[in-house]
Amino acid sequence: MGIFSRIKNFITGGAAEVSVVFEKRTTDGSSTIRLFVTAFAKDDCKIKEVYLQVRGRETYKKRVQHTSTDSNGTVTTTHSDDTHYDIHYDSTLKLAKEITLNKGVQNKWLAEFEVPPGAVPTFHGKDCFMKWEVQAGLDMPGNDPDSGWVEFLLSKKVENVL
Amino acid sequence: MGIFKNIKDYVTGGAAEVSLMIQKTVLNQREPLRLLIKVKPTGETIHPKRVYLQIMALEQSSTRNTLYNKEYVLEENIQINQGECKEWTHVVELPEEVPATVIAKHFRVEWGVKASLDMSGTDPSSGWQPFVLNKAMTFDVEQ
Repeated sequence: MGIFSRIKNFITGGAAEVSVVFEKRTTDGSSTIRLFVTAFAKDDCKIKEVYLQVRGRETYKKRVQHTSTDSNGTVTTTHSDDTHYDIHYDSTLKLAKEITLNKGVQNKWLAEFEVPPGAVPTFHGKDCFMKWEVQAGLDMPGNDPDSGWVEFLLSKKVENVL
Repeated sequence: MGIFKNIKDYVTGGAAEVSLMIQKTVLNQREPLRLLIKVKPTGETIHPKRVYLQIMALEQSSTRNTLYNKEYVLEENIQINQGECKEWTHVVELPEEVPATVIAKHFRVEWGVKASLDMSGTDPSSGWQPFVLNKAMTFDVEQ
């Protein structure tokens, strides 16, 4: 591995490929969710920490007012429905610390977690979404190699609907 | 019946009282929606072209999107005499893929049903009556 490749990996987080594999992609929220985090080293990696972020995020539209004044002092007001996000839940699990992964080696770690009680179930609408996602990453110098956000489904009836 | 009452009814839809009763307002999983519709003329005999139901699911934040909208015709070309009250019962089986009621922090998915008479001018109606569809939903996710 040349120095330019190392610099590129430092910037892009390309020193390892990180992925997640769920035992089950759908949960009703009543049991523990289990998944494996897998990392394949494309370069020698000194990893401070292997972590898993879990989040529940609501996407919605919010009416925003825009006001502008032209050179004549005429005020114009317009509205737009902008996309906003609200994080309902955000948690990070530490899966391993201070490890070395040599080039060409693959390792995996088991992660277990539960969604909080009263969590809003997954919803995919037209403008509005409720998504439950995980992202695994390797804490390393430079950009952390990560899996990107991977969605799992919280599919359940709601306890108190009225 | 005076001409002014007829004009008013034409504009307001006040020619009949339309009531809609939902037997169970919280439906679990695939329970059907059971409805009782009652129509009574407020004055003279009426001749609705149709008695119909609308069922709608709306996604609402600062925008409103219709996720489900269906009309059900209960009866066509009828006559309801002055002083008479006519009733219909109707059971609606909603398709499996329809969304559940959702109450998030900043958006809602809400269900409603309305009974109406198709008449000249504004249709007399029951107004929208809310109900809750409580079920587990599934969605496709990227692999």
